[in-house]
Amino acid sequence: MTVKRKFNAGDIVINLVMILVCFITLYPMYYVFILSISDPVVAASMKVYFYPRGLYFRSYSILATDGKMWRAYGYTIFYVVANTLLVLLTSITCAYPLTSKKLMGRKFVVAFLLVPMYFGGGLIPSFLLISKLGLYNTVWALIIPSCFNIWYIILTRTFFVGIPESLRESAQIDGANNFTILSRIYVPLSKPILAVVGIYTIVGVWNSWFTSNVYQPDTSIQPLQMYLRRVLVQQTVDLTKLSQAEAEAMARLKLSNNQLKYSMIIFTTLPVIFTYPFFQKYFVKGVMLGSLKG
Amino acid sequence: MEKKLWRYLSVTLAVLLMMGVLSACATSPQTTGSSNKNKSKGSNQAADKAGSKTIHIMGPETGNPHIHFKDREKYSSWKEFQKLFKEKGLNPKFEVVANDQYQTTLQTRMASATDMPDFLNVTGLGDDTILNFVDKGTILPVNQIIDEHSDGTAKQFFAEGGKGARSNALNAAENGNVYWISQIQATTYDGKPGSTNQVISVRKDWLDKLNLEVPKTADDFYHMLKAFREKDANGNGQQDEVLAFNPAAWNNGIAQWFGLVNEISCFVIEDGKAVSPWYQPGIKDYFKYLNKLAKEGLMDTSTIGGGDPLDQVIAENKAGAIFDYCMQTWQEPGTGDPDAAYLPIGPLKATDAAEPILAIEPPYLSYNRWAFTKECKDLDVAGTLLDILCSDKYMELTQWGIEGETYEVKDGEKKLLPIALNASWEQAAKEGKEIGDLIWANGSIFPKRRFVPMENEISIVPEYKAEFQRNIIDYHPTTPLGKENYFPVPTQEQVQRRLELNTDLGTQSSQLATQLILGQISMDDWDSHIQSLKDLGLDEILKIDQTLLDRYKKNVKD
Amino acid sequence: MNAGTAAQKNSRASEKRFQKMHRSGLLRENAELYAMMLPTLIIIFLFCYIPIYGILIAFQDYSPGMPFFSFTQDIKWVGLKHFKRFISGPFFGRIMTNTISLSFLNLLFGFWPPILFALLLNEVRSVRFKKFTQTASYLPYFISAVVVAGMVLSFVKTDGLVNNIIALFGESRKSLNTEPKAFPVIYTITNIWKSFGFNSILYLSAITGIDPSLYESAYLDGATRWQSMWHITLPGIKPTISIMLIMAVGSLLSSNTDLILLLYSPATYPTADVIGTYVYRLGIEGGQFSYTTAIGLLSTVINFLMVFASNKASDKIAGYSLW
Repeated sequence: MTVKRKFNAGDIVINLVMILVCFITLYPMYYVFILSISDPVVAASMKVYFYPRGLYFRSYSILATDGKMWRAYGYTIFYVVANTLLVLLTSITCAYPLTSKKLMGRKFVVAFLLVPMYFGGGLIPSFLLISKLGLYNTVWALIIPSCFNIWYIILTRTFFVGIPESLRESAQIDGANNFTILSRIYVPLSKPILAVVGIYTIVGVWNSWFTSNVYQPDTSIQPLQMYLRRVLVQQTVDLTKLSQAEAEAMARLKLSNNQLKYSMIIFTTLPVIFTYPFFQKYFVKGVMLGSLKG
Repeated sequence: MEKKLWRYLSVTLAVLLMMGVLSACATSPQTTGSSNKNKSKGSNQAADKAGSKTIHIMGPETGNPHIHFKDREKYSSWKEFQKLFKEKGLNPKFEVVANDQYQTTLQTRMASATDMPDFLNVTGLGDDTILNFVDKGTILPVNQIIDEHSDGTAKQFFAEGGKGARSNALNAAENGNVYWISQIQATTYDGKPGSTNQVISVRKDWLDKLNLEVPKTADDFYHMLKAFREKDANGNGQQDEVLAFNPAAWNNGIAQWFGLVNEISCFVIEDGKAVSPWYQPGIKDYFKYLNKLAKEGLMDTSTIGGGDPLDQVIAENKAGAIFDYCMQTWQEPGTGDPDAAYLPIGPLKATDAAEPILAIEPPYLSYNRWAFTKECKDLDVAGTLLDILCSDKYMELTQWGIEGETYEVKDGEKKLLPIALNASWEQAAKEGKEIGDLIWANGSIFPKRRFVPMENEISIVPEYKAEFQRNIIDYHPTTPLGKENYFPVPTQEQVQRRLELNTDLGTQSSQLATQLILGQISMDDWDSHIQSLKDLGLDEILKIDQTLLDRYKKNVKD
Repeated sequence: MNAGTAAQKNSRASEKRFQKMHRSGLLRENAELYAMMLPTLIIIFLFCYIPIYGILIAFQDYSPGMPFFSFTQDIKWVGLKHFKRFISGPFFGRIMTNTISLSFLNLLFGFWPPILFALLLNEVRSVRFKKFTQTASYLPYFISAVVVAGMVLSFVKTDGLVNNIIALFGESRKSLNTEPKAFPVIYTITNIWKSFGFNSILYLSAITGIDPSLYESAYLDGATRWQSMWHITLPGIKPTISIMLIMAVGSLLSSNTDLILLLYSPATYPTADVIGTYVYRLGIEGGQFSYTTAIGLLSTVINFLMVFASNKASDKIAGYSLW
C-alpha cells in the first residue's frame, strides 16, 4: 500500500476486534485438539477446557499406522489436484465468453447454466448415467462429473466484468484473438478470484465423500473422507443382537475411539491450512490493476 | 488466429478422448484390482471344467474391526465351509462391499438393475421396495425354490417342527409366498425359551456408600435419585446426579413401570392386543411422575433424543440410573469410576392404574433378509445354496466353529473356548480361529444361525446381574423389544399406509410426550392432545398392527 | 504491457472501427467464444441435463426398479398428488414457517459479518497479523457438524458455560436445549460462527481487485480511513455483495439440515423442524421416493423463483445481476 497513515485509535479498535475474532475461532479448535489427546473418558465428558487431562495418543496412532489411510490420502490429493485444475479451466473458459457483449445467444447460455444450479434428477438417473459411461467404480467418477462448478463460473464472470472493457478492445485492435486476451490479460488480472475458486474447490473436494459413497464400492480408490467416515461408523455399531462378550468388546472399542472424531478434525485440517498461505497471498496482498499501468 | 482455434479444439478433443479411453480401461478388473465385477453375466450359472456351477453373491462386510470377510481364507472354519460348497458342486463368487456403503450400493444397483448378483443381502431395502421388486419379478419366491429344488435339507429346516419354521412363518407374505430368508437367533433358559430384557439399573456402589435401600417402588426410586443428588453421591462437590435415559422414546424403562408398551403401537405379549401407550391407563400418572423428576432436576433434559449427550452424562459420572440390557457390562467403564456398578432393578410398582411390564428380547429372533434375484437362472443352484445354509454343518460352523479350536465338548455339551467366548478378535484374527458368525454371518454375507442356552452368557457377568436375570426370567406381563418378530410380512397397502402415517404420527407423539414431561404444555388439554394423534391416524396404525398380529397367531404355533 | 494506456488513447477510434466491423468478423468472434465454452457446456449437458428426467417421479408413484418413463410398461402417473399431500399435511405450515424464519435470521444476521470482517481485516496494518487472523477465521469451517453440535449442546446445558454466565448475573438457570424459543438463536449463532471466515474470503478477493490509485487520491483529498472504506472499498465490492445477496435470497427454503438434525430434539420441534429435517425423518421410514422428490421439487421451484425475482430487483436497483 502506498497510503500510510498514523497508527491511531481506529487501529486499536480494529486490532481488538481481530483479537476477539481470533479467540472465538481459535479456541474451539484448540478445544478440539486437547479433547483429542485427553483420556477417552474425560474426552467423552467434554470437561476439559484449558489443557489436556491424562495424555492419550491412541486415536492418532490408529489413524497414522493404517496403510489404507495413507493410500486414501494419496487418492484425495490426486482428486483435489485434478478437480482444482479442471474447475479453474472450465470456470475461466466458460466465464470469459459470457462477458462479451458480442456473444450471440448469451441469454440462452445463461439459462442453460442456471437451471442445473437448482434442478437435478436425483440419485438413480445419475447412477445409471455414470455406470453407462463406464465411470462406475473408477477414479474418474470423482473427477469428470465434478470438473465444473456453475456457481464458480458465475463468480468468475462477475470478477471478469469488473475488468475494463477498454483493455480488451485495444488488444483486439492490436490483433489479439480471444484466447490471447483471456490468457494474457484476464487471467493475470483475475488471480484473486481464481485463488478463491481454487481454495473453495480444494476445500470442497477435500471434505467430500458422498459421490465416492455412491459411485465407488471399491475401497482401494476411495478418498480420505470415506476412510475416516468408515472408521467413525465402525464405532457406532448397534449393540443389540450381539452376544454379551461381543457387545461388551464393541462398547469398549466405542468408548476408546469416541474421540477419533476430534483427532480426525486436527488430522484433516492441517494439510488444508498449510496449503492456504499459497492462495492467501493473492487476496491478502493481491494483484492490482495498477501494476498493469506501470 | 484460426491456427490457434484449431489447436485449442484439437487439444480439447484429445483430452476428452484420452479421458474416455482411460476411463474405459479403468473399468476393467485388472486396473481396479479388487472389484471382481461380473462382466460375463450371460454365462452366469455355466458349469466350469470341474463341473461346479457359479453363483454370484453380494453382501456387506461384517463390520468387525479385526475380522474381515476378505481375509476369510486364513480361517479354518471358512475352509470347512468351502468344502461344503465343493461337495455340492457350487462355485461361489463374492462381491463384498464395505458395511457403511452397502445400503447405497444395494439401492442404486437394484433400482437401476446394474450388475445384480444371484443371491444377496437385501436388509437395506424397505418392505415396500422389496414387495415391489417381487411384483416386477426381480426377487424370486424362496418357498418355490425350496419346494422344487431342495434335496430336502432346506425343506426340513423350514417345515413345521424345524428350527426355521417360525422364521419361515414370519417371512410369509399374505399370499403365502416367502421371498427371503432371515438370520435366526433362539435363546433358551433351563431348556425352555428364555431371553434377556432391558430395565433401569441404578448405581449399586452409590447405594452402598450412602447406605440406601434398593428401591422397591417408583416412589422409592424418586427418593433415591433425590438422595443421590443431595448427598453428592459422586463426590464432585456438585449436586449433579441424575437419571440418564431418553424420555422421547417409549422404550425407556420408566414407562414400562406404568404398564406402558414400548412403541407408539405395540402390544403386551400375554394379551396379544395392539395398543398405544397413549390409550393405556397408566399414561397420565407416567407423565406426572416424569414431570416431577424433570422439574426437580433429577432428570437431565439434554438426554432427550438420546445419542451422544446420553454418553456424555454417563462419562461425567453423573448417571445415578440408566436404561439398558439388565446384564450389560459396557456402561461401567464409560463412567471413568473404577468402583462403578449398575444394579438392574425390576419393573417397579408405580401406579394403581396398571401393573408394571417388562420389555424382553423375543426368545426367537428372525431378522435381516437375503433373497434371490432373477439373475439366478438355474434354480437348482439356488436350491443347493439353501440346502447348504440350512445344513447342520453350516449351523455348527457359524455358531461354534471348529472343535478344539473355537469350542470343546464337555459332558456332551458344546462350550465355546475363551478365544471365541471372550471376543478376543485380534488374537482370533492372528491365529485364524474364529466362529463363522464373525467371518460371514453377522448381518453380512450369509445368515446367522444361533441356538444358545442363556446360561453361557449369564455365566460371564457379575453375580448381582446374573441373579437379577435368573429371577426375572419368568416375569409377566411382557412387551417385545422389536415387535417385528411377531409380525408377518404386511401387504403392499398396509406398508403404504404405514409409510404415509408413521412420520407425522411419530413427530407429533414424541413432541407431545417431551412437552408434557417438561411441563411446556398442560395435561388439562388431554383430550385435544389425544385427538391430534387420532387425526394423524393412530387408530389406523393400531388396526394394521392388530391384523398382522392376528395373522401371526394363525400362522405360528408357539 | 502498455495495453492500458493504448486503450485509453484509442478507445474512441476503436469504437468506430467496431461499428464498421464486418459481419464475418462477428461470426468468427462468436465461433471463438463458443469453442471456448463448448467443452464445459457439453459436460454440463451430460451430467446435469441427461439425468434430469428423474424429476418425473414427483408426479408418479415410483418405487425402485420401476422405469422413470416408458411407453410400454405402465407407470402410475398421479399428477400433483404428492404436492397436495405435502401442502395439506399437518406440519406443512410449521415447517415452512420454520424454514423461512431460520433462513431469514441467517440472512439478517449472517449476511453482513463476512463483509464487515473483510473490510476491517483490510485495514489491519501488520501483514502477518492479517494473514494469521484470516487463517484463524476460517478454521471453524473445518470442524465437523457432529463436533460443533456436541460443543454447542454442552455449552447450553443447565450446567454449561452459557448458564454459568447467566447465573453470574443472578438470573436463574434455564434449560436452553429444550426451550423452543432459544433454538433459532442457538442455530443462527452457530451457523454464523462456523462460516463467516470462509465466506469472507470472497469479499477479500474482491477488495484486492480495487484500484489502489483510488485510495491514494482519496488520501490526498484528506479522506479519513472510514470515509475511504465507505466510499471506495464498499462500492468496489458491491457487485460481489449483490450476487451473494441474490444467492442468499435464492436459498430461502434451504437450511443447514445437518446442523439442525444434531441440535434439535422433539422438545424443540415447534421452532426447529424444517423441510430438510422433515424429509430426513421421512427417509428413515424408507420408501416414499416420489413424495420426497415432490417436496424437493417444490422448494427448488420456489428458490428458483426467488433468485429470479431478486436478480431482477438487483438489476433495477443497483445495476448488478447474476447474468
